[in-house]
Amino acid sequence: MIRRITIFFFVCLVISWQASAQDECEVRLTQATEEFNAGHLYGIPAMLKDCLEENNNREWRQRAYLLLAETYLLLEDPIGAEQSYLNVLWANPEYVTDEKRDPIDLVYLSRKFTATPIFAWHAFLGPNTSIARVIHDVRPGGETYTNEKYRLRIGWQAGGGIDYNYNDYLSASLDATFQQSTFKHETTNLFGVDKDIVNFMDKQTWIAVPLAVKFSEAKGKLRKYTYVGYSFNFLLLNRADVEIKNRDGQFLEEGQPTEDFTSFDKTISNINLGGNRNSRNSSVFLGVGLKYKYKLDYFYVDARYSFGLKNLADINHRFSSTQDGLPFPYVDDDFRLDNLAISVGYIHPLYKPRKLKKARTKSVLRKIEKDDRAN
Amino acid sequence: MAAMLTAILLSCDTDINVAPVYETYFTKYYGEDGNQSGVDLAVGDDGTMVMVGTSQSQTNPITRTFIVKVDPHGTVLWERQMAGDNEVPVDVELDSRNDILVVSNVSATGSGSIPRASIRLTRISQSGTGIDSLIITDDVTKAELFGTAVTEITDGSLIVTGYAGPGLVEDQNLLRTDAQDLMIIKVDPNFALAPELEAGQGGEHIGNIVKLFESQGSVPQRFYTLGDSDRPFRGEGFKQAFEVLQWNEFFVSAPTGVAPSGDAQSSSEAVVMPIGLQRGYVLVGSTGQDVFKQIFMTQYIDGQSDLSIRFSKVIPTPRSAEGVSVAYSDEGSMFVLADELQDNNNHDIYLVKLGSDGAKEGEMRFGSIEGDDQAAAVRVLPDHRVAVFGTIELETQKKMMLTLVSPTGTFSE
Repeated sequence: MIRRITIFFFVCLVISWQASAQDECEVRLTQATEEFNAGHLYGIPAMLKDCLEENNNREWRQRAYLLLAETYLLLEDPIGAEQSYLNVLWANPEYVTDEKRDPIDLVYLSRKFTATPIFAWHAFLGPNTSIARVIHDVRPGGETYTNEKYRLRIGWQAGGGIDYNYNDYLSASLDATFQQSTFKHETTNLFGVDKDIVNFMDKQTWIAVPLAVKFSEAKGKLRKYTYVGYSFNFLLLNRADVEIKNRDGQFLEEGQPTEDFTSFDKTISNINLGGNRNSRNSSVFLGVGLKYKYKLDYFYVDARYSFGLKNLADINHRFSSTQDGLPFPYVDDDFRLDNLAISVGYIHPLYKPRKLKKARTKSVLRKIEKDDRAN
Repeated sequence: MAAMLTAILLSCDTDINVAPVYETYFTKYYGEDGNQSGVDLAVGDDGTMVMVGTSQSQTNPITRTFIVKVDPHGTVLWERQMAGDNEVPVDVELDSRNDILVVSNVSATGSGSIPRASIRLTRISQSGTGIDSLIITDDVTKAELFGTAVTEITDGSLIVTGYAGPGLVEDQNLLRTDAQDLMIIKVDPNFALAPELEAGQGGEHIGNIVKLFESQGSVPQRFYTLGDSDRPFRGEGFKQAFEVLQWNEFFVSAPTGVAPSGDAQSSSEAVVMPIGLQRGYVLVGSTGQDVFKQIFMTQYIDGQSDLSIRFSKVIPTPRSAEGVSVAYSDEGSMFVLADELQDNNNHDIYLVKLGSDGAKEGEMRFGSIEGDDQAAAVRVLPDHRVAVFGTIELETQKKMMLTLVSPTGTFSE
């Protein structure tokens, strides 16, 4: 109990000390602003020095470095001004000067810098469904009236990656995705019309490395984007459950079948299909999404459709494991596997304030010249 | 960029660049309600295949004959039950009219008023419609008849071979009860006349003719029957072994036959095959004790006046295996199909490829690992694919299984 009380008092002490320090720095910044307004510029850096070393409040540091940048500009100390503005961007990477609000020389200075993130990392999670696209229909039996259908089932995927931002609109991303996908293959009318039914639930575990080019909106709280890409996909595991409904006509009298059926059902689980499938695959994909800006990061929702490029069935080993464990009436079609994935994710831009090699100051210069002519 | 897109699109697998190898090399299951077991397979010149087997519903245990015709890709052209209840097919052949001949053994408890085991010979058209059917029964000696094969000879007659139960021949000097006599029955080409018992070879306790062949160009006609018996002409007493008997045009056998030495042998199937410029035959079966059998085969050369053994061979297998069927290819290879006993006491279907001298060139196994699978027939198609026919025990039922593999035993070229 005494230990808890001690910790409580210690936490209270730290919080009150930080609040006190914050208050003190606010007072100091107010005083520095008053000195700036009064034209007493030389003492301002010294006034703020201690607080800049101790106070980590981003908003306060932004205001303090802005004041310093303006001060150095008036003191004709360009190196100090540039360093101060760079520190503004470290405090708030998304700070943008405003020609109507800020002095024009500060706006001019700001055009020499950018904090646009070169890289950003992201992570995502969501459901998916796989769509089989049959290349050749391969049947376990020889009857032409046997029907086969693929049914959608829900899987999931999770992953992360890194974005390289070429500019505010264009970026490239490289991901690593862990994906569980599944589909159902249903065979009916096997060994007779309305007779056997075989439900084959295919479960795949993929590792995918998608590479995409993305076009995004650069402004606003909600930003739309779209992308195209190519993915290398590796099938780690492929297992299946098969449900067999062996339906025989019910004979009430010898040789007199009725419409009733007796079904001899069996389910076999966890069948390994690794030897029957091509483990290396690839896909091209299209996607759209919407990013929601939250502080300096983003949440996003994304929809991606991948077109499988390769035949998932290994045509040379489709039947080779007959002896090794396919004791049920199912055989792979030649098929590609598309995938529709919905993901929600989080983007954390890795901001890097830096001086531009080529400053974007032409428009500001034109405004300065225009203002000069007007005066 | 355009080149990259083109390369990606060209890498997409479609029906244009994915070869439909499944049409050529495949495993397919055939059947209907209940369990179906494969028995025999006949291949037409056009590559179509006719499969016969038995069928038993899980709700009605009566055994029926089930027949399926498929195209060279394994697609069913027609399939149906045929004949009566409790009839077991043993052989399917195509005759010179390209009709389908089916030999079935009819149980005495089967359909109609059949007092004892008999044989049904059925002629079916290529479209699956029945043409004629004939019950062969022995009302004279009251022997039970069991067919194994049918052969069409030069005059169009059909020769049904097999064995008969006790009573067909009054055997003397046998050590114990006579169980079987070799049997040859001649059937009129149009099924118009009553079948004639041409021969009932005695002198053995057990015996069976698996196939009769007509020696080509022989005047007068000469026939060979290949099978097995325990006839003691080898000088080894009554011991079951492969046996070839030569018969004249009146189906009278020469006093001695041709038989290889070695352990006890039982035969399963014989086919005709060319050996160089000569005509030959190969007989396959098994040898050894009950607990461990091995595939045994003998190749014979049809000489000017008699038949001689070219070679006899035991095909070694790690597990007990019994030869069931044999086929040859134009390229000189032979394919032997066998039932191989597994560690779990179930059987797998074992295919072995042999050179013209009987040397093993390759092997392959089929079946479900937990099921008891049975070999029925191996045939070489006109396009050199190898058809393996048998029964697979699936998880819930037995089905007839047809597998088409390349001459090297693979599911692709």
